[in-house]
Amino acid sequence: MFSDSVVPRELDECIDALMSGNDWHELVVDNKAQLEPLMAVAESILDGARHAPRPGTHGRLRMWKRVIAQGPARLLESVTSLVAGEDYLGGAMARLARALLGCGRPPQTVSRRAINQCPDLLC
Amino acid sequence: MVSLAVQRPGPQLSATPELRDNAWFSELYERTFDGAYRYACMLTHDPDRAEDIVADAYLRAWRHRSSLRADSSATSWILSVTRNCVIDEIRKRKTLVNLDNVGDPEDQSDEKSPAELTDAQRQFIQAAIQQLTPEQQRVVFLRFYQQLPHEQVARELGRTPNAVRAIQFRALSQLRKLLESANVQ
Repeated sequence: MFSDSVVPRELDECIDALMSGNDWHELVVDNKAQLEPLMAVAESILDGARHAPRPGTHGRLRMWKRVIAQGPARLLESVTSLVAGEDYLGGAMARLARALLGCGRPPQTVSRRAINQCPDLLC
Repeated sequence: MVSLAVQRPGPQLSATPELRDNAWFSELYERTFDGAYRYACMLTHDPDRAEDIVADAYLRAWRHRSSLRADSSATSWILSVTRNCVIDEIRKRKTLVNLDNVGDPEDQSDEKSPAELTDAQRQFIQAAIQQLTPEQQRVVFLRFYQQLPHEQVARELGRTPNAVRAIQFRALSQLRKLLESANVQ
């Protein structure tokens, strides 16, 4: 017989011990039959996690270039063209462009209406 | 304020949607990328697919950055976006991982300690994790892959520590059932 809250708490304490490299068996007293199979699962997950690949610096940079090439870089390119005089959407767009580029009015002054006018630019 | 589950401390991201510019996105990427990549690896157990998925996830995050609530965790948000991308990618490929299709985890003759699994067993565990609910997956990921204490997991998910313990308990119980039914361990 166990309380619904006791076993999850004991399990959590055992997992903490496992992650710290300590012997979790010492913490198991009353709910051994239930906790030991779950801790076997916890050990398996932790083993899998420790063997999971980690992105290196190279991978992180490669991915960053890939992401910004299709996202923020496109935005910046579009905004730059607007500031350069291709302000075909009017003054609100120019204010948005300056705000996004960090010059002119601060971003807080850009109206929601101005942002809504250029969904393609932001997406 | 946006909180982030990170291994290193850093300034809080400004969270108002109007301020989510290139610098914000760069900071978001810097501070959540490792977690998103590892989460995608956990769900796909394929580093190459994980790269494609994470690239897609950050593009979606950029396009839908206004959907991040100012008082929400950016990490939890990125994990949700990443998971959605995993689901979409699986649908596209129509290669939903089925436990029956994963190699026989018993088919390894070398002696290993219980805590040191064979590749087949690891693959099997990861396939079983895919059967968990999204919330259970996030708890398992933040707890075991990111090795966060349950208090921090609770903050990231906007739940109480007791709720996180209960989710963790149910997740491990469910995994146990799945592994037992497949005669693993």
